[in-house]
Amino acid sequence: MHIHARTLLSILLLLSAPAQGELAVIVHARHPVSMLRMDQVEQLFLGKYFTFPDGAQAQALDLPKGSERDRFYLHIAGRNNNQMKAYWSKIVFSGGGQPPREVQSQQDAVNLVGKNPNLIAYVDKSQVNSSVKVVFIVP
Amino acid sequence: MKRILLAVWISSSLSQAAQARELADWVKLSGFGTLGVVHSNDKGADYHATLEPSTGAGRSNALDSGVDSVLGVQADLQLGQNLSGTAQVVSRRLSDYNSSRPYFEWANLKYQITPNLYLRGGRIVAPMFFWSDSRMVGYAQTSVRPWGEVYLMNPITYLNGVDLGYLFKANNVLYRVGAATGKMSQTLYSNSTQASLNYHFDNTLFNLAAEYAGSTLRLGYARVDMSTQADAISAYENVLNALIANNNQTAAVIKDNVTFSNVKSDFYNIAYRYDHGPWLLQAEWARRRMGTDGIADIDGFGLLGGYRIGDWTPYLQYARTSHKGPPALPLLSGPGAALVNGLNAQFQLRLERSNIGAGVRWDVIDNVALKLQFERIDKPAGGNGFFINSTDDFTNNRRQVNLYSATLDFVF
Repeated sequence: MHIHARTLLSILLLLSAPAQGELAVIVHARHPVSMLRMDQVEQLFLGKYFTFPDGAQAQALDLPKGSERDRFYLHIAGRNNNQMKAYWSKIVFSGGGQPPREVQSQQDAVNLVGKNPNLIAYVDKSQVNSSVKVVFIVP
Repeated sequence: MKRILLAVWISSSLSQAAQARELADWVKLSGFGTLGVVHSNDKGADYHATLEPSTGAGRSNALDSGVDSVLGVQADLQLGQNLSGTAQVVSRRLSDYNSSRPYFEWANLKYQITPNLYLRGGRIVAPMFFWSDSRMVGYAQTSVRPWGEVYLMNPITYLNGVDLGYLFKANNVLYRVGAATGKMSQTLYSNSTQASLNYHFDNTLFNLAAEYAGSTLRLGYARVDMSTQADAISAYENVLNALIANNNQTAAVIKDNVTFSNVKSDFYNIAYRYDHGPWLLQAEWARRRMGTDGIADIDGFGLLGGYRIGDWTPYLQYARTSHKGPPALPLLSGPGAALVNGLNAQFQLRLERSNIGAGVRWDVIDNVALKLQFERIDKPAGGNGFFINSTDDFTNNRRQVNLYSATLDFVF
């Protein structure tokens, strides 16, 4: 069933996002972490785990509602917008934390991450500059 | 009138929610609610979805808006670098003549000792089941409500106490370990006997969850030390004591087996959830073993499968409660025996039923979901299967009850 679900998901992805650029998960340029696995990215953005692999505190940032955000969560968590809403209502109303802080734009995300090594965000790969480092790619 | 006021309150809360949340950096206000109606085609008894209400859908109400309707408001406070507080006030149908007086479901302080270890104290969730921590948040769930066949096995939703939670990873699997201890007191009012039951619970709980690639497996154990008081129980014990004073052996046997103070009981729970992509699978098994013959030993099992198509999630579910005991109590004779035999007969009713259902969740807009659900509940003869206010005819015969539910769930 797992493989079946993955296959269906890829088909859905192909149908819904025919021509969009890659998304880059970014941290501060001098962050000791060089790469993250998808499960690590998922745990940080879904409020399941709160530190980078080196033990430093991690705080995720969210983009405003839109296609980048939808694609990101569909890829890393297999959840669409409705599922993410339901997911966060379960977490918030179980006293388990709050969703990632929402920034105003992709540029904002890059600026904030470039200044603070505790932050992690995702942006379109074209937004990446030298103040940040790419640790995961969403194709 | 009360319902209209509630509706007005909800709509005004919704419109003000955006502003309310901006109060300050250190305080977040949020809320959840369900407006629901339930119809049962069997007028021989009432269906209810939580243990407290003394009426439900069926015999008391043809169309009951009190079974699932709930409103909750939560304040999350960030009080320092590592200290936070959560207060949740809930209004739903409760036991005392079905009032819906708001009460604190939670009010606690949480200290984050490390990013992966916390200590929490105050009024906290009682993590008896997989969905315990968001049991009343319909919006967080796929179906209308968690299976009654499993979740009605234990009435404890919160504790006044402390808990500890620890998070760690091993081989890319994320583990959560929790331990909680605390007390809870509750009064349930029974319409059919026109009497109150006062419960007191001392609880110790342990749970472990493992999560990997969209799958979560959770194991739980709870030891509950329970004491119950009621006028009927006092009368029952007085009869037994008087007979024992006259060397009645049967009375002594009954008194040994049917206890009401410091009853030790064990609850076991295994749950699995897969939620990744369009497929959804939930399964939960629970076992209740009581240290008294006054309350039935039961096992419960529930299974739900769903598939998401855009904003629609159709699902199928099956659940059952199986009666496991206790063995028959001997018949008593002597002065007052009728009272004891009558209550013993009640204690030994079969607590059993199965439930097969289908439904659909429609995510109408952000933060609002509409659900329609059909269930067919099959209850064997000689018991009430969690139904209340039953007629003798309902209790003594097998019944197949059709239940129709519609809910509007929202968060704000």
